[in-house]
Parts: sequence; structure tokens; C-alpha cells
Amino acid sequence: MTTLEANPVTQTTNEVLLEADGLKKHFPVTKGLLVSKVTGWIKAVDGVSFQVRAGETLGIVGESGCGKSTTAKMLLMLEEPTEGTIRYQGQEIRDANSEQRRAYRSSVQAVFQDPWSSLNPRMRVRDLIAEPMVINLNLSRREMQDRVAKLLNDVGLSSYHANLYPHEFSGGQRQRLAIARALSVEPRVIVLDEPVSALDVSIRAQIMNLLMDLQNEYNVSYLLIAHHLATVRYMCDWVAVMYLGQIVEYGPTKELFDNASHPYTRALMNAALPSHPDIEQEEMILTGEVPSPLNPPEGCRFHPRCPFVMERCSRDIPEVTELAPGHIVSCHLY
Amino acid sequence: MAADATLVVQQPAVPARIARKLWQFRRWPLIPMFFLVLFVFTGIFAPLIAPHDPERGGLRDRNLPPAWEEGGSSEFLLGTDHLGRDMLSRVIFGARISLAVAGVTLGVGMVIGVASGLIAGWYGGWLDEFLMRIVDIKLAIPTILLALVLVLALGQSFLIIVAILAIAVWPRFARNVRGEVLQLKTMDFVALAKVAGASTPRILFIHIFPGVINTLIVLATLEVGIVILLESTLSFLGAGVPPPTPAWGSMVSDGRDRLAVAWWISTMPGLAIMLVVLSMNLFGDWLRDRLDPRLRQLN
Repeated sequence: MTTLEANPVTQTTNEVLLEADGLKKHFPVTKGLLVSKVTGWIKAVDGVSFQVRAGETLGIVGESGCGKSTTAKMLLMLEEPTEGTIRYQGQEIRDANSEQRRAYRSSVQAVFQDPWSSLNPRMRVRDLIAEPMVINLNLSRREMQDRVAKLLNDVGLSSYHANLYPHEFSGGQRQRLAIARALSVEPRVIVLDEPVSALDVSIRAQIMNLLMDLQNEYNVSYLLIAHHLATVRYMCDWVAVMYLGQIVEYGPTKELFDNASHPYTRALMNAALPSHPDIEQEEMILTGEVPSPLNPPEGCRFHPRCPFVMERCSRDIPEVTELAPGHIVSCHLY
Repeated sequence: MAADATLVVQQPAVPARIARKLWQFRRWPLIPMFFLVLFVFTGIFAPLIAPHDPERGGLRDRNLPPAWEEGGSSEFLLGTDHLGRDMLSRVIFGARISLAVAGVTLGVGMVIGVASGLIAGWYGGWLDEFLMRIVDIKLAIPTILLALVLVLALGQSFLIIVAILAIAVWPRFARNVRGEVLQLKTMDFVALAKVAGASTPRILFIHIFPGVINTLIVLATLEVGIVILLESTLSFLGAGVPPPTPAWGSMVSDGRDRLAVAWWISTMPGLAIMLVVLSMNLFGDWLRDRLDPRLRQLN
């Protein structure tokens, strides 16, 4: 198994809130009209383990199609994992009774990428923000209104916005509304699936800063899904790099960015523009395309594109190696 | 007072203001709307408006031409039919039948269609397959033929006619609603409602259904015309609401043999059918454009 199981991180003392262990999601590929036959499996996520700690941010980076969003969907109970477990405060959610599931629902909320699709265009802002409270909490109208007003203020809008419809807001404002909605039930974890990618560059920093301020105020943990390295570096305490449904490198943000070890992580960082045009950086351009998750390569999944490929890479699945406390990588180079 | 006077903004003259107000409605289908309002109004208040009993006539007055024709009488504005019944009253009461049939049929057809469309679109799988195949089967059978067979088998009554027409109407609602649901259910706000813990009924009624209403309104207006036409066709063929109830279709049929001597018996109800259906279609077209946000900016 290449999965990064038994993560030996003991660096921080913060309680582990949400934990994924060997998560897999395989989608069947079917053929046939009446009697459908499974002809193959798309291994969107293939053995992923990580931990989200109280008050911290874990970032998952990777290019599109690597399984980041599917992982998020499993944590949000929108997809059933094929294998593996999700634990919230030590309780496995697959075995949870309906009461515990309810509690999980209101403890884990989400903000999605597209603020145009994530707000129902036919609901007023008041009802949009209050919906999670209406479903999960037993509050009076008055309390509900007060909380909506407070949330709107907290995300940098005003209480009079409560009467408007989503189409009356800009993209950045809409994302603020989505954040207010996610915060309304005071969750412990918020899954942020590319929260700033759809926004104008000039708005991104505002939203990122808002998210970080709210993290302190509400003591909430984030699971940040992103493909933009600067975003991850700015916001995260921990980073996991995913490639073809697996985590190839995982560690504390500073350590991982300073000592990027997996060839894929290094290639990703080289592909990003440096913060200053005079900064020299090594040239490392990957050849080829991401292989199909329908039929991933044998051995190390990265070997067909790896510049440091060795003979054993196509044969053996790499072991997990701990390079520094908490910094682990799965590559034959180490 | 003098100081106040300078603040008074010159108001346009009253006729100019009215003209400006009216100008806003220049793109509205005013003529079709007038006929539709007239249709609904006469349908509801038929007994109060009709000058005569539509089901009773005197043979002495039979085949009287309309008032403006030679030999016509101001007592019977649109003339009388072959049994001496007042055409105007019969057309007015015919509106009532058409209105009732169209209203009840659409109500029933819409409920069935929306429910099955929501279920098929939301749950997908074999349920979707099953419901959509029923829709396909229904759309493959000629409605008139089905209606004639059912009337022959079950007998002729208002309820049976409504049931038959509802069967004819629901598949189109089901199809369209299903299509909308398929599109809406992939929206992020539906996923977020699930994340918030919303139940399936809550998602369907609060998040999905409101997104379908526009389509429903437009479809309903277009469908009304079809229903009225179908009902008239059935009445014409003698399979509609049983006589002596004055239905437009059967009135056209009554006058068919007498076109040479008394053209008005067929023409008057025929004109009524045409006006209502045409108005409904024009109104529906306009409504579709108006409710479509992509076209709304054009006005």
C-alpha cells in the first residue's frame, strides 16, 4: 500500500478533529443500455489519509482531476467512500447513528468554488444564510434574524443586505455570503473547495484574509482544496500534495515549501510564477499528460512523467518515508 | 409662498402622463389579453350575461340570422340555431364549458406531470426510465384516437373528458420538469443544502421546484390552447361533453349540415375557438420571452 497511513506527526498538540484514513473512491464505468456491465473503475481517490486539527488549516493541492474535490465530497457526505474511514472526533461516521450524523452535518460545512451556482437565485439572503440554522438549530425568528445580521457584519456586509437576492451581489460579495452561510451553525470544520479560484485576482486576497480572520474569531478548522500554491502557502498550516488520487507528499507548510522533496511537488512549485521576476529557479518541466485514473501506471503512479525515474519505479510501489518531523513523502528517491 | 413656488416641479399634463404610462405596455400583447380576460369573465359569469337560456329555444325562431343580416332580430344578436336557441347565449355558455374543462384538466395534468417529472429527474435510475417510457408510449398514441376509444368504453361525461385530456397533457409537463430538474440538481446550492442537512422533500420543494415554476407557467399557457382545441375536437366528433350542454365543438358540428342556409351556426363558435386559442398562444409566446432572463434585457 502506498497510502500514507499511521501518520507519525506529533508536532502540534491540537486535537485531531477530522481524520481520513485510507479513503478510496472508485467510480464504475458501465457499458450497455438495459443490462449494464461494469467494464472498469475510475480510481478518483485511491487511498488517502490526513488529519484536520482544531483551529488549523490543511491544504490539499494538485492539478485538476487528481481527486481533490472527490475527497472533499466524501468528507461532506455527498459521496460514499468505496473504502476507508472518516472519523470525526474519533467517531467513525459510517457507523454513526442518525443523531450523530446530524451533529456531523452541522459541524462540517462547506464553501464551494463557484459563487454563482452555490447560492439559490430564488432565495433572499436572509433565508440563504439561515437555512443551515433552520434545519439544525431550534431558534426563534428573532434570534435567527440577529444571527444573520451578525454574520453579515462578520463577513464584511451589512444587515440591510439580508433582504436582497443573490443576483444583486458581485462575485466577491457572493462568496462572502457563502462563507456567512457556512458559519451560521458555528461548525468546527469548513471544507473550502477552491474558495477563491473563481474570483477576480484583486478580490482573492480580501477573501483569504477574511477567511483567516474568521478562523480566529470562530475557532474553526479549514480543509482547503486548491490548485494555486500561493493560496495554500498563505493560508495553510499543513499541506498535502495529491497526484492521481494519492497523496505523494504531506507536511507542515513551511517545511514542505522549503524542502519540497517529491519530484511532482518540485515540478508544481517550478510551474508557479516566482514572487519576484529576478528570482532564479530550477527549470523542471513535466512531459506528457496525467495518465487516466481508469488505468493508472504500475508502481509509482508518477513514474511515466518523473525526470528522476529509476527502474524500480515502474515495479515497486514506493514506501512512505519521514524526512523531517511530520514531513512525509512517498518516493523511491528517499 | 413665493419661495415655495420655485420648488414646484412642472408636472406634465395629465394626458401626457397617461400616455407615458400606456407607453410602458407597448410590447404587451394587449389584444390577446383582452380576449382572454373576456373569455374568463364570460365563462365565470355566463348566467348573468347570457340574454337567453342556451338550452331552450322556440322552433318558430329557428335559423334566424344575426342581427346585422337581413331578417335578423335585435333579440338574437348572433342569430339562432336550427332549434331556435340563441347563438350568443350558447357561445357564452360554451366559454364556461371550455374554461372549466381547460382549468380542471390543466390542474390535474400539471400535478401529475410535475410530480412524476420531479421524481424522475431527482431519483433517476429505473424510476426515471420507467416514467419516461410511459411518457414515450403516451406521446406515440394519437390523443384523439385514445379519447374516442375511452369515451366509447367508459361513456360520455364531464369527468371522463377531463380525465382523458389530463392523460393527454401530463407527459409534456413531466418531460419538461424532468429536464429542468436534471439541470438544477447539479447546481452547487443543492449540494450545499445536503451539506446543511436538508431532507429530500425540503430540497425538492424549496430548492428545485421554484426553479421550475417559470417553465410551468409558460407551458401551461401554451397547453391551454391545445386543451381547448382538443375538447372542441372531441365535442365536434360527438365524444365530448354530452348534449344539450353547449360546447363550442358540438355547436360547430351542429351547423355543419346547414352551412348553406345558416352559416352562423358553425361560424360563431368556430370564431370563438379560434380567438381564444390564438390569444392564448400569442400570450404564451410573449410570457415565455418575458420570463426568460436571457431575453428580458432586450425590452
